[in-house]
Amino acid sequence: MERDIRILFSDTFLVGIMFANFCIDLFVTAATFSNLISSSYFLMIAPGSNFLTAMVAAFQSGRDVWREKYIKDLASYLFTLPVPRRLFAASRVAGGVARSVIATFPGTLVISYLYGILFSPKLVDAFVIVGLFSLGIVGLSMAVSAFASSIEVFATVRSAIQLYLSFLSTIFYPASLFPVIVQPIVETNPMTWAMNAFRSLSGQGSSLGPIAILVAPSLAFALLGIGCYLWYARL
Amino acid sequence: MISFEKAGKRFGTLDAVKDFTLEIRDQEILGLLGPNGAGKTTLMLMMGTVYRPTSGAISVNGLDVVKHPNDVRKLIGIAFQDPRVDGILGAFDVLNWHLKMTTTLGKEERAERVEQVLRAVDLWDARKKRTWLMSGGMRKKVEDCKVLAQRPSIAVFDEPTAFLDVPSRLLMWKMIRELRDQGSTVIVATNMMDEAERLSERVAIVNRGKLVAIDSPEKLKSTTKGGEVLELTVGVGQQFPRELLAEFSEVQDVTQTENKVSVYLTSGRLLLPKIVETLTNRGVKIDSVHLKEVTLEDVFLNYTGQSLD
Ligand SMILES: Nc1ncnc2c1ncn2[C@@H]1O[C@H](COP(=O)(O)OP(=O)(O)OP(=O)(O)O)[C@@H](O)[C@H]1O
Ligand SMILES: [Mg+2]
Repeated sequence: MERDIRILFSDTFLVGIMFANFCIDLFVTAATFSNLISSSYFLMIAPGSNFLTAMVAAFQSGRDVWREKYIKDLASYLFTLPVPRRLFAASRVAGGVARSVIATFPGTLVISYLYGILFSPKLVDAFVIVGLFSLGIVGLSMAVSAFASSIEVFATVRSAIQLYLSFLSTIFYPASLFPVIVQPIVETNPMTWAMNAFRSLSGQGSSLGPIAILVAPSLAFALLGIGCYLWYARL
Repeated sequence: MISFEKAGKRFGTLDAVKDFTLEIRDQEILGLLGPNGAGKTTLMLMMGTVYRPTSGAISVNGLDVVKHPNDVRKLIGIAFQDPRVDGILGAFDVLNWHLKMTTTLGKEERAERVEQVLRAVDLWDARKKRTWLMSGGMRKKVEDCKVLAQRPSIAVFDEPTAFLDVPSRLLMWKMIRELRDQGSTVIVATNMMDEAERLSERVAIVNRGKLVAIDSPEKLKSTTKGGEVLELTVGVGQQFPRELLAEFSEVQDVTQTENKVSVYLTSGRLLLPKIVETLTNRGVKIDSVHLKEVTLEDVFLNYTGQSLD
């Protein structure tokens, strides 16, 4: 247990430095958006830009795994360390989630402030949503990287997934604005679920329902990621 | 004790290591000597649980590397041929992290050990410099220091002194010996004769994935074809009558590369005039003659098939 946390932290530390700039990015985006566009629209899309940042940060995990594998060949070094691989895989996922939660930390706070939930228990829910969303994406990106033979393949698959998650979701428009045919796709998009969950935070009443919808797919993707990583890291 | 039993590793259609059988004793320094592509790195990575042997078995202290990889990983420390360090970290952090992952040392003990090795290799002042900004030799030292600081019971160094300057090489050898004196079994892969000869107690010569000889450097030299070499340069394009020399019982072997002929023999001093006489009588034009003791290089060339026999 202690070791798990230690590894999580060392892993986060190892590559986490790269994410300082994400935070800056987010502040700038947030500031620009709120000045340019009316604030009600900002309220609607703000969680989306936050999720996009989370997505990019989370995908970084897969990219790291890929880089270790081919560019620096750090992988063979990491695999000689006496850490059980399952623990290692799980802590990489945890590290990835921690990183993307950290990367979106200011964004989440800003949006929570705008939603007026900064000092309510719902703030925890906000972080849980970002965390769950990141968990799924980290898992997905690790799964992709385990199979990608070149950075081009990885980048292409990543872009495809990112396009699907961002444009075929309710980040920018409500589902009703989409053509009828793609509406089911939009409705079954994890990003849509995450957006719904987040937006529900601003209203009254419980957001447990929308959050619960996120749990299963996120866990499934995380397990998929761990599984693929273990497959790739097998002796 | 580490034992390889007919271990093999196939990459596609290439046998990088084949039918490799060897026992490595506790607390010895074993040199793995072989030309580029011989399979040295592959051997070490199989032992280090990175590659799975495709045939045979490898065990470390009785633990099979495939069945108990995690137990084996606890025993081994590997300094890779090309440094595997995270570029954005400085030497101190790289080593500290390595110790954190491989040992049970507390924070202060770790810092102490890291300081000790970094000072020894003169990198203490550069401890915060990002490793990707370091020179090749500095980075290599950091890689070696990982294992020196870790003090694993089995320490593996893959060409530890590649890129190092002469004083640093001598120092690195000294530190590797000290590591052994503290109880580690040391395996060093190299393609440098002086490193194999001066550092290791036993040398295993590997060629094309196979073990071709293993013994102490002295024994290897003395048992190789008599212990002396007579090097002759003959006129270009001349047929060299090997069979003539084979009549001398002291001559063990004759090899030829272009117009350079090596005659492996015993008591060369006595034989030299006779050989020269026989050859000149036969009309062979001799440009130069040089008699010397067998070096590890001769042994190496002999075993790795550079000779014509
Ligand atoms: N991952 C791999 N996939 C395919 N072939 C490989 C792989 N690793 C090594 N080889 C091949 O196996 C052979 C042995 O390589 P190895 O790296 O073990 O040699 P080496 O003795 O360490 O050589 P050097 O002195 O150049 O370091 C080479 O022909 C190499 O191309
Ligand atoms: Mg090698």
